Amino acid sequence: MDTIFTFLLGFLGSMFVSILYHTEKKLFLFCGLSGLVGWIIFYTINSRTSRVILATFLGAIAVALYSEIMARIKKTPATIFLITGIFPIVPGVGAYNTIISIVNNNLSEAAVNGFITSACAGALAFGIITVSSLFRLINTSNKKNLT
Amino acid sequence: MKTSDIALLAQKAGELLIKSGAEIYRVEETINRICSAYGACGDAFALPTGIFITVKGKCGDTITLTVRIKERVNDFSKISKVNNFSRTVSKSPMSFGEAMECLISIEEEKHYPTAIRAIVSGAAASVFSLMFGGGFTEAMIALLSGSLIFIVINNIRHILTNQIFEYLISGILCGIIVLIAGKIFPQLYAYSIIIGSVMMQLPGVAITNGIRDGISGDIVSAIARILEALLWVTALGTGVAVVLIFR
Repeated sequence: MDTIFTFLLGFLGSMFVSILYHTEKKLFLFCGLSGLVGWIIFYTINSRTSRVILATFLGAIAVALYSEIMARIKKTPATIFLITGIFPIVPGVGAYNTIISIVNNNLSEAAVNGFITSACAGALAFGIITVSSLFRLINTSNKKNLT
Repeated sequence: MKTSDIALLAQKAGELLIKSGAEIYRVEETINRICSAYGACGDAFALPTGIFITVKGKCGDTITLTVRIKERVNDFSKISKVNNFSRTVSKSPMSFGEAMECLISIEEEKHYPTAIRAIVSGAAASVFSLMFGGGFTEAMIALLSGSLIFIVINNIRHILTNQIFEYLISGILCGIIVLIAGKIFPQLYAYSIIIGSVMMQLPGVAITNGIRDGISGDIVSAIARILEALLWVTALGTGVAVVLIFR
């Protein structure tokens, strides 16, 4: 029950973010689903293996796959689903923790937090780029076959 | 169509995209697509803070335009509409007047009402505070502070000289609310309230986008975005920490 509630939070969080970023009304639900996909993957892997960076990478891949497929179905840019979908797993909190540790003069903790933050951001970006490059490759090879 | 008109159209579309928080490659692609739709050759160099466009017309005349962009907000419906516009144009080019009218109507499109956005940002704050280990009380306080921060920032944004102040003030507000709430409910898990209420301002997405830009080859905008994100989170964290010293 608790897990289902946690998953629901990912859905709601992404949906609210999509409203604040002025997404069109008909896409709210799909943005929420994008968040749900990423959050389920991230949460499950993170709680089972406690490897945050790996979990972030796999979550990013899941969100990116969902977004690229959805973008083709809904005929909108994939970014819309991507940005709202990665919102729950994005390392914003890590960046905040880093600054707070610096302010509290806890420099070794700041170093750890800062490293995790940049590693998570890098993992996210790499996950997204991997998937979107793959889809671009498929796109261009399809076009070549047509002509 | 005149080369200068093509350049104006491309400039408008690119400006709209950057102002709505689109990725750099999409901006440059859109500009090139619009130019080639009208038979001109366009070359664009986009940054998060400005665009340079050069359009070479059919008769060999060249026009260069520069746009400076000061403010960016995330607005996905504009990105998707400009994207559709560029696709329509490249399939069936319309006249300059029509196309410009189309872009201006996209630019002037209204956002959702402020009241709804305030409530939604409160709701988002409570969801994220639950996600980071808060309970029911924490979620309710985050709901209040999320909405309050949104309303205050929305009302004082026009008098602030730069965006960093906005983040500093959000941080200070959030700190004050946590301080007061801590006096009333001593058992509170303050961290979850703070994270929830400032989650919308935390630059996690900005850092990720910066690295994405870097991987796709836009090194300059990657550095610009990451630096901007670092400044934001520093301002935010400083705001919170300065107030919480008095706890």
